[in-house]
Amino acid sequence: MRKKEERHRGTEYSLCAFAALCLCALLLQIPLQTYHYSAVSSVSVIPGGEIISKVLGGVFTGSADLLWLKVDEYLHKGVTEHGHCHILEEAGIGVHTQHRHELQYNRLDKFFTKLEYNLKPNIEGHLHSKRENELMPWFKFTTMFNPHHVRAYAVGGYWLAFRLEKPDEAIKFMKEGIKNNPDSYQISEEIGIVYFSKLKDYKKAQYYFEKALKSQAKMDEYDKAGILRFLAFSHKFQGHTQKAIDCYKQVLRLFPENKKAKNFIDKWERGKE
Amino acid sequence: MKPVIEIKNLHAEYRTGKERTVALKGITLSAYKGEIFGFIGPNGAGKTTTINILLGFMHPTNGNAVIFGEKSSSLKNRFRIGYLPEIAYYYPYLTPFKILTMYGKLFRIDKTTLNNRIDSVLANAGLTEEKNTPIRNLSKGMSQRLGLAQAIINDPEVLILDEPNSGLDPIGKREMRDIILELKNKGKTIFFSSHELSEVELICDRVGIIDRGQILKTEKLDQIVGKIDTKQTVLEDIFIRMIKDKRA
Amino acid sequence: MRAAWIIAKNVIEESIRKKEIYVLFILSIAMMFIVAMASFFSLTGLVKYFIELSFLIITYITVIIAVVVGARQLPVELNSRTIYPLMAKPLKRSEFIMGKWLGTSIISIFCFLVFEGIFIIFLFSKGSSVSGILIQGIFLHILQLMLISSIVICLSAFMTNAANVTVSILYFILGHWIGQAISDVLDKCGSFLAWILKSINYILPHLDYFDLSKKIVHQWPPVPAWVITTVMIYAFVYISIFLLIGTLKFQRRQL
Repeated sequence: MRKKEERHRGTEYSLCAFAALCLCALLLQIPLQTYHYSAVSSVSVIPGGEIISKVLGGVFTGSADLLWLKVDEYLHKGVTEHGHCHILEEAGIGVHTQHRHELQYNRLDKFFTKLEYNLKPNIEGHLHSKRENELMPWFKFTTMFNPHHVRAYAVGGYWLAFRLEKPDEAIKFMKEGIKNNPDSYQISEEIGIVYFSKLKDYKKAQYYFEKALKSQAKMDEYDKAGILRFLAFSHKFQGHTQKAIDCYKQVLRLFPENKKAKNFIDKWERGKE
Repeated sequence: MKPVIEIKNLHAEYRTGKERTVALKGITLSAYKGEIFGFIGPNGAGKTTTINILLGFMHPTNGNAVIFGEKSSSLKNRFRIGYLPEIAYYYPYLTPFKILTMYGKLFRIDKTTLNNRIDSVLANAGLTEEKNTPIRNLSKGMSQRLGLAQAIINDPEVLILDEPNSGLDPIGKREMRDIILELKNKGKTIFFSSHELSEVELICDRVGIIDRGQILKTEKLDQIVGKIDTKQTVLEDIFIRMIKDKRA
Repeated sequence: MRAAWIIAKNVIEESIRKKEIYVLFILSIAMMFIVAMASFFSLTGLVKYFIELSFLIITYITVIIAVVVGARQLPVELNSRTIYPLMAKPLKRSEFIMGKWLGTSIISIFCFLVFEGIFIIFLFSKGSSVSGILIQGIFLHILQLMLISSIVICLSAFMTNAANVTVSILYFILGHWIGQAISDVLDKCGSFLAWILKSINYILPHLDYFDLSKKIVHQWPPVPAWVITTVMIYAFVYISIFLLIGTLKFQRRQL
């Protein structure tokens, strides 16, 4: 009778624990974006596989998002801002947001807050120069868990090429990104920039900028204008001045008041004469 | 003479959820120094419950159980008590020597005395050759004898044996009987429960008969059995008759 | 205390004979090796990720060891009936619980120190060294293992083996997030709910206090001595509470 009672209690506790685990998994999903993990979607061909692929996909993509936040954490020597990602700001994307509010109600709260303050990294610092290489494993891990994490490829490529002076590795990494995300204009653009700025291979740069422009993915005007500007200069450095001018004319169509575009068009048209 | 073991109006019950099972309904008995007290009863009568209370494994709901004038669950008593459980297992990865060493250290016996005593009890139990054999490789009979060895490792004044002949062959039973009698001759008090009425009849001084949590009789063995010259096991007849009368 | 130590020795001997510790040992060494040998974009001098991942592996493996070893102590003793001849000896129930906790703590701490030794060898091979903050981190993790062992032993007086393992590991994961989670929602709730949340915050032990991994990874200077002392006192207070609860429950238990 005792064994039966114990088994019954054990079952109860196990069920409660399982329910708590599912709740935690659900709560974990709330602050994170969800992605579609194509490698797991092959599971959806089996009956009920859709649910399995969503659950598994959720775990992988959730993990990838956590790994992505690790990049930011490493950049700032372990200090994390709640719900914010500095790494995008460093790469020229995103805007700085407000800091986490520390709650202190009474002396005991203050004491424990002070204790926590000392136990965790508390003053923001920055990795510099060669130490920035410590970020790279986390870019790699992010893309391993979620090959559709476009930002990880694009920002990782930027970091490799421009901060760590490894343009070849950057291109190799981003080409892997293109393979997993063929329609990503961000990765194509970034490859183009590496060829343009670092390797001075304007023909290849042109190829990738044009590829970016052909993308079916939703692109805002600023991104499009940025790509067109780079394409313009790629053409210009290859001696294709008219094509360069045509690119800037497209920029003008997007932003009719853009003075820089007008100046370049005038300058290059005068140069042709 | 003051009894060594004294149980007065002992009540005990088990609770499993909302269910309540009364195991003992106010039992009273005593065991005196140097005697062998046989505690007999059918299955589920309350024998093991009584022993569990004597050893402090469970708490009574009412009444008291006293050994050497102290509450039965007192730690002081345990230095003077030896216990052989009905079904007991010992850590299978240990050897008889190691398990006796472990138990001996709990009794705070010094190393030299303990080593000598281990050799002595193993010899008594016929386990000298199996001293360093892992317990998982011992037979049931050997395990039972190991049980007796660990019960007497501290040279106790009181031995509480729950079904000491369980798992023993006729030779083993004879050896067990001889050991118990030898301990009695040394002035030990032995309190044991058994189903084997023939064994009880052979060695006990006094007998307590329990059924469904109540004591039916506590008496000297020869006063229960009488001086009847017969080849039948008279205690068995009397026992069965008593149980049937009570239940009728 | 002597009796408790005898019980502890028995726990250690039993654990050494079980295969699961060796399996976990080999698994963690293999994982650390893979992490150490990994190459990223032909970059050299990458140490931080190795420290972080190794610490994570070591932390989880040693906690699993503590939980698995601790959770089975009482249920297995009861089911196998080895407890009866033991409790008939002059052994208090509090000494029994204490001994089980001590044995569980020692075996998990021993495994942790072995893993740490191997980790330090890998660290030297990567051109890094042992820092003051690493020593502090090791000390705090030892305290954490002792605390988790006490939680597991306490729960073993209430639950079966399987339920205990589930709840303990779940608590280990959640115990690192209590403070942050509660402070995040605290100013969004009403006063009554806030009071309940604050009570939970103070009642449950914060396992993140024992985690210096972020500071170790990012090579921060050692934390002040008062912080280590406070965490140590915090640990021992909770260990005492859990062992007391476990002892009281076990004392009332009918064997």
